[in-house]
Amino acid sequence: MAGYTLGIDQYLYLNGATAGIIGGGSMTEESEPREIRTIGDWRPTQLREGLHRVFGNASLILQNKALIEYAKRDADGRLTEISMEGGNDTENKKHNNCKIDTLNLECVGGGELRGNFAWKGRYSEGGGGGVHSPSTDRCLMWFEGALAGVAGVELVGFSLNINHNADWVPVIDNTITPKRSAKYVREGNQVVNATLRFLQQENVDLSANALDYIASATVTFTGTNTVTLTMTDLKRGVHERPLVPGELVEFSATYGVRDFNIT
Amino acid sequence: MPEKKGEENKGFKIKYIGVSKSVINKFGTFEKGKETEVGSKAATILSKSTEFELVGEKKLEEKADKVGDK
Repeated sequence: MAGYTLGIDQYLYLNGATAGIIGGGSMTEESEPREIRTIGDWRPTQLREGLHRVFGNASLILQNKALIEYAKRDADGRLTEISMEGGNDTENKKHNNCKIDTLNLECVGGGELRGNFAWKGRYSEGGGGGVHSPSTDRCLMWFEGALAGVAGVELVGFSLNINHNADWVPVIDNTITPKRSAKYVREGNQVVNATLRFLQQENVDLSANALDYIASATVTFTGTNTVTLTMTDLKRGVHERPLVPGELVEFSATYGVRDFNIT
Repeated sequence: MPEKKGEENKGFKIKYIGVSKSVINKFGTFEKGKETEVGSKAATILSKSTEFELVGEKKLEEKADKVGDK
């Protein structure tokens, strides 16, 4: 084996299976050095080991809903725990008890349905090695997509941003293994917003005292597999009218979203 | 005619047992449940993955003596 590592030998598994067409990302392990200070010195008197955190992110081109479904909560507001494993055949790491913290889905006219997701995990260990083997299903493209629920506009691009504000919970319990790992990765507030770009400005007065909800808007991609992104109770937040000499004007509208679903 | 690079030392059977109908990787295309013949290097690497299993009687040690075969 050569002394360097190439991406052509890398893999990324979610729960033991190849995590789709991965265009980039990272797996990170962090041991926070804590500075212990005292009077009588300008330097730290000690450096001690802080919380051990594992986290990562990856960008992918979507072929189906399998991976992004893990960004949905159950009826009790909990996220599903998953494992993320990556590296190459000889150098690899597995992140355990992970939760999808953020997911961004986007598509622009002429392009693919793309996603970026980030996870936070409880601890890591050596992986088993593997081969990145994405499905041969055709990835989803803009011409397979359609917007429903927003009237009088033509969609030229969108992004849906989901943030679960997950965080580590360290517990004073010296029986936890590994000792410096958090005991839990907990969910925080779910924050979802969507930015849609149209050829027309929405005919809505943003200064109105009471802006109506859009009860439901969906973007559905129908290809080899079907992915439907459903946004529930959208409240208008920003209308942007770009000034672009000589260019096409794409009106941008950003919405706060109460809830979402991926089916 | 000499064997094509990567074709030497074939004879290991690998079966894809993952969740997709078929997958593609640097060693080829694999249909779910179907046995595909590969070389010893591919068999060694693929058999470490939980998505593949080595099938048949041929064991990896028997022919894992060449470097660079697929």
